[in-house]
Amino acid sequence: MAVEALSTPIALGNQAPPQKVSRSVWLLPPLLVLAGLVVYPLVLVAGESFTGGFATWREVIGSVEFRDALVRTIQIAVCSTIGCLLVGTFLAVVISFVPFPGARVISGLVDAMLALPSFLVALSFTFIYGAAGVLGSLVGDSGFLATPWAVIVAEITFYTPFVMRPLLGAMAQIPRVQLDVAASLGGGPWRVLRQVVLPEVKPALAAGGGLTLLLTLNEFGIVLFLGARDTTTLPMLVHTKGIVMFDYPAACVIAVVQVLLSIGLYVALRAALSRQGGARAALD
Amino acid sequence: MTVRLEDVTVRFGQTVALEGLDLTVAAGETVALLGPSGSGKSTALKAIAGFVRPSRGRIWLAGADVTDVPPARRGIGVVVQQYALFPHLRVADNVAFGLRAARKPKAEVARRVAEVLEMVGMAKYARRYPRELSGGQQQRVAIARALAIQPPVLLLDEPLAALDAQLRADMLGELQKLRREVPDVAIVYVTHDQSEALALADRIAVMRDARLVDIAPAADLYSAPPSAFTASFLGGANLLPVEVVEGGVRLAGQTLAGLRPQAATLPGDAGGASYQGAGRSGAGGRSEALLLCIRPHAIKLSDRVGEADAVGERGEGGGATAGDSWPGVLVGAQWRGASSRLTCVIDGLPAVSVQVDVPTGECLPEVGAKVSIELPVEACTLVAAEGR
Amino acid sequence: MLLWTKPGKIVTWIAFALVFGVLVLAPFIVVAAAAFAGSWNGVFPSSPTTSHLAEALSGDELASLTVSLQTAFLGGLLAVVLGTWAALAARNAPKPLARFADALHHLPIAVPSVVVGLSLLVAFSRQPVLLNGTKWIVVIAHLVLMVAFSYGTVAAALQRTNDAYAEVAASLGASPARVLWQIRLPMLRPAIVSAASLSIALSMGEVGATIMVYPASWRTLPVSVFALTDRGQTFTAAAESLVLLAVTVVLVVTLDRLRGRSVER
Repeated sequence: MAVEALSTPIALGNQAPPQKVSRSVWLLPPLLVLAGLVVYPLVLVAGESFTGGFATWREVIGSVEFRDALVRTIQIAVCSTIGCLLVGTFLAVVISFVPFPGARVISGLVDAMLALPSFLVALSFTFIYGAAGVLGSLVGDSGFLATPWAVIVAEITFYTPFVMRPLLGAMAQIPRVQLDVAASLGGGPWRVLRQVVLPEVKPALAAGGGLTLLLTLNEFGIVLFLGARDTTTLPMLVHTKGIVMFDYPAACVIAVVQVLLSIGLYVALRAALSRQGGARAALD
Repeated sequence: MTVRLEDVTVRFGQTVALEGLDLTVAAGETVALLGPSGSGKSTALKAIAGFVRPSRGRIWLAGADVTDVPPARRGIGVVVQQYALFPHLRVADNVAFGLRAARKPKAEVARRVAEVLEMVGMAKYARRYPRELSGGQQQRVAIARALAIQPPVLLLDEPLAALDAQLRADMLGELQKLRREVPDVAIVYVTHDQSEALALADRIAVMRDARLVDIAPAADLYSAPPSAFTASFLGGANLLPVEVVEGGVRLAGQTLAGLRPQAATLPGDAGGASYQGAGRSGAGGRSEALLLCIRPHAIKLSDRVGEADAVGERGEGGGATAGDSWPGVLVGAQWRGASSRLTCVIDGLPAVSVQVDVPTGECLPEVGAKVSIELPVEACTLVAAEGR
Repeated sequence: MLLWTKPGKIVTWIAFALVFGVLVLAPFIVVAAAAFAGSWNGVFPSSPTTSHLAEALSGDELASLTVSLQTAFLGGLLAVVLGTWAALAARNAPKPLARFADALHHLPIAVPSVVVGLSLLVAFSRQPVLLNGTKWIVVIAHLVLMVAFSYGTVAAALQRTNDAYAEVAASLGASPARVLWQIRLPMLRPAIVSAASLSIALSMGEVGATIMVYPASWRTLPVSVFALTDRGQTFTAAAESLVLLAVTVVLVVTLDRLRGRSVER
């Protein structure tokens, strides 16, 4: 899963096997395929963004449309991630430490939800928050669907399982006795949570949160399906410029900015996680 | 010689896992590589098997240089620590794996599989999967799998480490029996447990910090350890600081005379100089610090009843006294069932505790009592102190 | 463990049920309900019908289901082969090369799917390889997006496997090819099957890259769902989403049975 992909340290044999040079030849075919299908196209995108020299860059970067989208994208990603962390932590703590019959089913459900398409959530919002839907019929059309908040709530819904999964894994590692001992020493639930549980799962929290931030920065399906007028994000802008307006150079400029943004975040994240080390154990 | 290692050195990046190992194992011989974790013993085994390539040195197998031969073409039987039975194959298929890799005819594979499974007493488990076996059974299958290809050399890497104490004792007996079933196979047995090494090995190679410390027949290593490390690692000897004087060695102000000549030979000293010579000046004019080595069970302990006033007499080491008894105090006692482990301190040597084993049934002094510690000279040897 | 009083637990459970139910679960239930609803003008849907479902399983919509299945199988399987191959090869490669391969295979996770789509569009609308307008550009987009997950899953499993199995197999005289086919791959089967079912599930629901590159002749199911919502046919869209979900679940469950007994190491 994405969580694993993020946290998997490089798979290396612990010992240098004999004849390593000839063996690395086997790595060539997949590397060539990826070079042709990922690197080459991305390089062309960067090249395309400079077709008009720096003019396209100046024009795009200078436009209000781009700056609004950039700010919106970051706002939505940060708010969604905070929301996911809060909701995900609460749900994971209850499943792990205040278990009820069926808790295992729920955590299985969480696993399954990781593989579902995000547009489902956006689609359901039409029925829940739309003018004629569940809430609409109660309080009238609130116009909620057209606001960035709809995107944020949808992303919290969809990405909470991404925070929960590493958390559930990390929490399963905490010996139950540790909590019992903490309680016997007079620690109330809040204190035990703050001083025993949270420090232990911090790496998992960081991994889940970081991944969610990355994915929400890049989220497209939800924004596309909600089609909210005030909510243009960078991926949405790439789509509009590229497919609707056929302005490839401008789309490529935005794409380059977006790629730099997410790869920068991704690299920082992996560096931070590998320094913590413990995150691996928590996530595997 | 079936296996010969010549100056084998293994490096992983900066770390040296094995440094200049020279070792030969004859057909039919069992050599134990004994040492604490990180001593290089498993690396040596992996080098013989071909799993790691030496950075320096050569490895010979039945007269042929196999240093650059991949494991698949060495024909060595290997049993690794956690057995590594292929989980998706049944017991019989695990054992048949090597034979099938060698494209042996079906009938021969079946016959040989039945034969080795019979040898390790696992014939009726042939259709089981490894996960359906206990630890001891898995171990037998792992050995059968290694023996199926009729290897001239069998490498065993901590084969008993994963078993509990009772099972370990049983399997030790099984391994001794198995040794007799394959009389021509050279066995290299890696372990950190001295009792396994003593029970199984013809010769023991003691390893430490990636180097071979001592190698000798097991009985010799135990009775006359050549180094302080071997003395304490193999059998946990007492090591008491002494200095060489005319006619013997001096321990806590008292002279012990009549050490066996071979026991006084100093390890590492080129000519095998006697202790007198080495102690006085040494070949290079330096004086090596020496330790008196004696096993806990060889020491005799007796109450010093009626010597209550002895404390005052033995002040700053009158020095004139000779013989093999030292005054001391019993500071601790642990009952271990068949024997008791007593801890004493010799008067004038407060920093060194002396361990003494006394069989159960003998009358023990009280903790805190003054005792007389007898070091029978025939049980004593001398070793060089560590740390140049 | 954490809470010791009955009331405390009950309050927590109620809060859990509310948060989980309303925020996480409700959207999926609502889609399922809408798929069978004739109309939805109140708190609850009304006039139950299966006509939307029938619509979702006929004509163009059925065609896009088969398109999605073909794309998912082709793209997903290629991704699994490539990812497994790369993970196995990286394990034996020298460290710097392995690190590079690792980074390269994780790149598609960091790149937004829309940008992956755009880059393929830019790259394959020109010489030397013209793929724009064919189904292959869609398949490639899915392959690129899924390869990271396959690689990650298999590499994680490899990391947990002990090298001793391969070493012992080699010492028994097995050639590298025999070790690969009879030991390494069978032992990796659970991970490979997980990678396959994950790839197929994600591919079935992929929107971002597909919407950038799809030709009119190769419209995947999510693209059809989007077209329906765009035209305001939300109930049919819900029905088609439900079909998507059902097919995905069937595929994943079937694959999971292939996985066999989980192998203990």
